[in-house]
Amino acid sequence: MIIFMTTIEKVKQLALSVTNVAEQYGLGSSITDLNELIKKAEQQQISLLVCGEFKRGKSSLINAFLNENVCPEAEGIATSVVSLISYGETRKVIRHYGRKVDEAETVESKTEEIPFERIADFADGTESDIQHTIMLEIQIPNERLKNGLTIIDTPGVGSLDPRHLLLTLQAIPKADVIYFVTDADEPMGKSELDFYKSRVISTGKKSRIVVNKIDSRSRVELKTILKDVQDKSQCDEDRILPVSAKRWKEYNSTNKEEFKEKSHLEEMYAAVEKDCLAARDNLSQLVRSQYIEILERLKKTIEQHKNELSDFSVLDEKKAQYQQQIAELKQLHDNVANPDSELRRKIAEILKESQKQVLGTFAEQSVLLSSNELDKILQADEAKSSNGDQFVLKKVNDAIVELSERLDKEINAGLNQIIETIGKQIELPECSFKGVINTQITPVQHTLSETTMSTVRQSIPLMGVATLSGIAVSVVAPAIALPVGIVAGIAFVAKNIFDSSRQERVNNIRRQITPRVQIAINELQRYIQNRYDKFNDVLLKCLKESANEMIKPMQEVIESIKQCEAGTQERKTEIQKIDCQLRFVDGLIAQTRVYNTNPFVSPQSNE
Amino acid sequence: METNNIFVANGLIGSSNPIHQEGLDTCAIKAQQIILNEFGIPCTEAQLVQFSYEHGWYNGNGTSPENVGNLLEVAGIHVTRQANANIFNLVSELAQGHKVIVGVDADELWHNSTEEEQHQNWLEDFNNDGGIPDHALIVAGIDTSDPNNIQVLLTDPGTGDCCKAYPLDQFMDAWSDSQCYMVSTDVAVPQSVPGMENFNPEVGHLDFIAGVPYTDFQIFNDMSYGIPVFAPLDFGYCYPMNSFVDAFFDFAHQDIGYVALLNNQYLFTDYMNHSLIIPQLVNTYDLGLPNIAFNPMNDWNHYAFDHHVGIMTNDLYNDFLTQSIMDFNAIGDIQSAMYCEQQMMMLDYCNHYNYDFYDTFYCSPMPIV
Repeated sequence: MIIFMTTIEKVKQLALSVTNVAEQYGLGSSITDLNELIKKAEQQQISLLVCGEFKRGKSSLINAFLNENVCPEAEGIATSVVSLISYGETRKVIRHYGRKVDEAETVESKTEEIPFERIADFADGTESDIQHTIMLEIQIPNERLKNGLTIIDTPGVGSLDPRHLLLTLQAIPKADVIYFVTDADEPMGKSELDFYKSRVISTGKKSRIVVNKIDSRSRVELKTILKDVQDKSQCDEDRILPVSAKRWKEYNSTNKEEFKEKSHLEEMYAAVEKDCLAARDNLSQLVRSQYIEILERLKKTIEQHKNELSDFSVLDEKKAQYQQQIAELKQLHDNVANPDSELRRKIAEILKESQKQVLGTFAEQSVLLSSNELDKILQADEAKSSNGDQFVLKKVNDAIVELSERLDKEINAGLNQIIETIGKQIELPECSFKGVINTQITPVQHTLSETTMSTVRQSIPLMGVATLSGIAVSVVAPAIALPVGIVAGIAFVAKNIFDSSRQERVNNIRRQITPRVQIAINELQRYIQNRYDKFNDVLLKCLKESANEMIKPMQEVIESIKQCEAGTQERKTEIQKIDCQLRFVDGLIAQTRVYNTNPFVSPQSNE
Repeated sequence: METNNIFVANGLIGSSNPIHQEGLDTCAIKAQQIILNEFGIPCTEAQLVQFSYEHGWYNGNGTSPENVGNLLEVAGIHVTRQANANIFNLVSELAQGHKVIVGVDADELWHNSTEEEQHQNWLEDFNNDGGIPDHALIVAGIDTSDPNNIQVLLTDPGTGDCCKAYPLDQFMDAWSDSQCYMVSTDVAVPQSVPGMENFNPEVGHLDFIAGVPYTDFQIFNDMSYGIPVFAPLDFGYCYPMNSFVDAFFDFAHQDIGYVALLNNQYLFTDYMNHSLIIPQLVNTYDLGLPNIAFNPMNDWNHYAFDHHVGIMTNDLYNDFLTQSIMDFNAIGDIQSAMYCEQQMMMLDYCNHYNYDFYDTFYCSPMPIV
């Protein structure tokens, strides 16, 4: 069978099921607060506060209601304390007392248990008479209170003792229901009305006006009085309750029906029961609405968390950056490592073109040197002099050196063009080419290997220049030197023909020097070839090293991409779990909203 | 294989027999009252009858199908109405803790024991092109404990029976007369209601259905969208959905694997509409994928890289899933393994009907939401 729980029990059960999720999202304290409210609601303590001007018969009414004399009601003496009367298995009275310690009405409060019979000693009289008693907590085994009702008796307001008003005002917030007692013998005065409107109605709590002492009035008079109360208070008719505490007590002691009817006690019981049920219902609704509010807040928090997690833009952006980086690195690697890449083809073309150009220059100049240039030198007057050999040697040597230097410049220009090309081709936006191509470098001042390696490495991003250039130098050394020694050889040969006749000497010089010049030219040709070969070797080695060195950064970037993907996957899994939580919370909200509601009850049947 | 009574609803307020309808024609109202009571709404049948009358949903001559569920909605319980549903859709709703009201031809449930009654019912179906739905009741659960005699548990306001068992075929016959109309709540009944003990509120459904993991059952539910309840023959009709139900229970009791189900020994395979099935599978794939704890070290890309494969083919993905299931089981990640199994069933489906898994699930049309 379905067990219909109270809304409180249901909310308690549902709250338990959501505790873990609420704690996960930092709403554990809200659930704790809710549990506190549930605890209070479970105890079902409903406080009915009875207030009004002094001498309206409040204490008498309470005593009649309880059918025992709990509140002192001595003639001429007003109640001076607040009494909280609730159910207890045995009679017990706790006295709260204390003196005012400062102007801000701060009271140093103490408690003590007093005998039930001494209630009057601490309830009626001046502050000193009652020994500074503030409140009495009275527990009695009374059936009327067994269902959790607490009656709060208050000192009458409007008396000469301002303390009475103060104590009553302090008690009002503790009440769930307020009964404002007036007297049928006296028309509702301005001060009563003011208090009722400003202190009772303003709380928004369920309240009634109890018109006591109706026993002294005829039916007609009572009707007029009730109309007057209604007009003045603007209270609904059904919220005005005429009673007679006096007749009620008489009924209590005699059990005579006439007193029962005249006391209106049944109406009073019914009103109290209805108001208490309504108050309990209010508490239930408060618990329900607080729980729903927590669930809505939880839902919002979860949704917010989900939205944050669902924003993949940062991860996607990061991933896109890595992907672009890896694409560029891959392109770079291909350019460097693949002999068929555009860069490598271009380098080969430039190299070939440069070599072709240098060799062209060399061919032209070497022919000139061995023919026209040599003739010019030999035909010069200085060549025919006694020191002509020295002159010829110097001139030929100068011409060879000049040609060497010219060719060297052309070679350097070609090689620099390659290096520039590498720099331009491999340049990346985030690793801009910063290498400075040293166009002034000549093989005499620097080794070719050093020049090429360092420049290439400066051109290629991500290279550790210092480390790699060191490796390269050890591989390519020794350096290539210009063929200047050949010229010295010519000088040595010329000395052997020094003593011949002038023309003959010139002829001899030509005969002797021509092969040597040719040898020098051949050396020069080998030098050219050697420089290009060495450059090519170093370049290839450098490119290979560079390509290998790119693997690690590529692996690192790929690892970063994987981490991004892992993050994305983790988030998706998390979002899936959050969706389950959202469905769970949604279900709880729906279940809580509908539980113990009944929109099908017609207004008539509700009444 | 565990017995699986999917939900047993009982217990109502307001009458001596809390299930029995008080009026002659208030079955739908009573069925809604039963559900409302389970949600903790203490309404009586009389209140609901009055309310329905005032709103024009009841005029002393029953409740029309489109108005069934209105009372639930008034109370704040949203519902979904579905015509041409099938038993898998119905079970899917039950598995999610939803309450289900169906329309039936009552005679086929109440007066179907003798041969004469059966003939009479058949004749009525024949004359009325499928019979007349005249009754609403609650499907409380399905008892699969005996695979050869699947029972549907009905809470019937007409008879006052709570969770009375009927053979599946008999229920289907009665239900089909309403064009398999059902009204289901969108929200699960509270956990405290009897029969919700096995419901897993954190995932929002039962973990197992007739002993089959919920993930596997989803594939069957998806497929059911593309299988007709009945199909015309030269003389009479055949019932592909019945054949599919048989196949499911054969699968559930491990008599036969999923791949074997797709072989031609079952009638339903001749009537499958793949254009209706695939979008459902794609949707299930999209919802299931995030439940697998793949990471870059064990995902497809990593697998493809390690095995030097480029394009995903069905065979390669099969190897990958097989490996993944083993790995997830080895580390105790049962959820991931189950969702991989679900993908494996999708892959089997693709293999059997020559669909490319990659094209079907990666380059698929928009999933159904």
